[in-house]
Amino acid sequence: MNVSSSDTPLLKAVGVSKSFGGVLGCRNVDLDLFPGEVLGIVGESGSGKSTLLRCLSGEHEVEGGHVHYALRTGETADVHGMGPAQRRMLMRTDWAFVHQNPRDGLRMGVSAGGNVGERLMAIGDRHYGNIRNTAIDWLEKVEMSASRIDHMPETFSGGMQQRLQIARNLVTRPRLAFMDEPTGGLDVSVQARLLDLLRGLVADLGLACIIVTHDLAVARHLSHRLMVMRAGEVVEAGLTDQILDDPQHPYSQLLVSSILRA
Amino acid sequence: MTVLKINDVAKDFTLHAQDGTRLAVFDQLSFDLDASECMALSGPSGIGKSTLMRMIYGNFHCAQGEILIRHQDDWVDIVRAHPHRILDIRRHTLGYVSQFLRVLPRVPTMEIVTEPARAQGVGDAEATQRAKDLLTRLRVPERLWSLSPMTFSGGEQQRINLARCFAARYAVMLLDEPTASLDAENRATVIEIIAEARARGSAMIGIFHDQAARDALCTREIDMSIYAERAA
Repeated sequence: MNVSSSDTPLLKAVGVSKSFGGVLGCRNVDLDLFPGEVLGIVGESGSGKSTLLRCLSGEHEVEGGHVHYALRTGETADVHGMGPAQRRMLMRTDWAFVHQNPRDGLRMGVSAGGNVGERLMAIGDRHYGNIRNTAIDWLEKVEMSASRIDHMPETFSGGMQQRLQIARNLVTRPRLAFMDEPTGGLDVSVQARLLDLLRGLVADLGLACIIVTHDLAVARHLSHRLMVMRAGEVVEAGLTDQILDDPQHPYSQLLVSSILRA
Repeated sequence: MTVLKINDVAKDFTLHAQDGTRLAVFDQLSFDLDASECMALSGPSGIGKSTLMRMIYGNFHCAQGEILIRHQDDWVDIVRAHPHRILDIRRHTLGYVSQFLRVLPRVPTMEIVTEPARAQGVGDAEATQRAKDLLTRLRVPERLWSLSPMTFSGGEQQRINLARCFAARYAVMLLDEPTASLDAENRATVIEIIAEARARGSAMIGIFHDQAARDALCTREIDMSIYAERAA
């Protein structure tokens, strides 16, 4: 895992809070994410992980705090203050969002090649041959046969759909990816393959990632840093290996000691 | 030139799920380490030797004291540094040869061995050359280089771990029983490889249960039981 040693955070959140009609989503979360760095968010179901992810990406409005993103131009944008057009542009170019359920991230009525090509067209690519070649290239990067380019996602297995979703998201070479349980719902052999693929892509592209997972093995494999959440709050944050090998907070200790060793 | 300063470090573990039991490991531990020195941590099993190394690496939390490392002409306190900084220190300055290779499924040996050197900015050709040299010297058969080491023997994994760490260049290296589970020939090779890194200026802290390795390599020894008693 390579991380550039840049000292300017790509994404900076301060005091992010969100509730849903009085029910706590997340409270007072701070984080810095640097280019090329992978941050894991772990915690049990309902701890606020996905809510935090959606606050960070601007999908949810926040009630307190702010999230700043360093644009390629060197300027900083307030994720919740930018207009819909700018946010849409970021989502198409600089950002990727990988959903747990590939159906949420794919266009199910469009072929595999179309799913990948669509993001290229959205940023202005018009040459059919180039788009198709790039799509083939990306299908191969995610270990799918180029012969499946004209097939519908419906005909793919869950693991293949997930890889297609990743190809669709990474084809524009984003700088930041939000991933919500990217390996959830896949069987273990498919999961291992996907993890290795993600690890390689993240290193090759210098991609920064925020990965929500409840699987500590996934977190150890992929992330440099970890945040442990419970009841909407971050109870512990730091280096992944330090939190997994010497957890300090009672809840982190419980989480780590609950893993069965195969 | 001093490269590492341990100032008044203490360690205990609090086991919240087990009635908050507190296990004190050591207290009031201080020393400085110079470039090219090789210091052996000694004392019986369970006295805190590996724990200290893992604290220096930032792998274990440190609640008291300072662990200062010279990183690219700055002094950085590992205890208080941002994780982002610690990752940078681990990449460029501080190497750790653990007893076990943590292998990722499907990643070939050659890629595992060249990875830390490449992360330091060494070109592919040079990193591959260093890896080949070390794997050859450590008698890892060439037919294994393209395979994942997941199913290799303990001794083979240990040698891959050593090749991986010594293919990169670190100012400070932590060695947790680098010669354990190796045969006599490979032990001798590992001693040579460590001596070469020292000659290039790397400072070492190690646990050596193997007396011959300790005699051949170490310039200093620190008895951890003194500090364990202070915590008792």
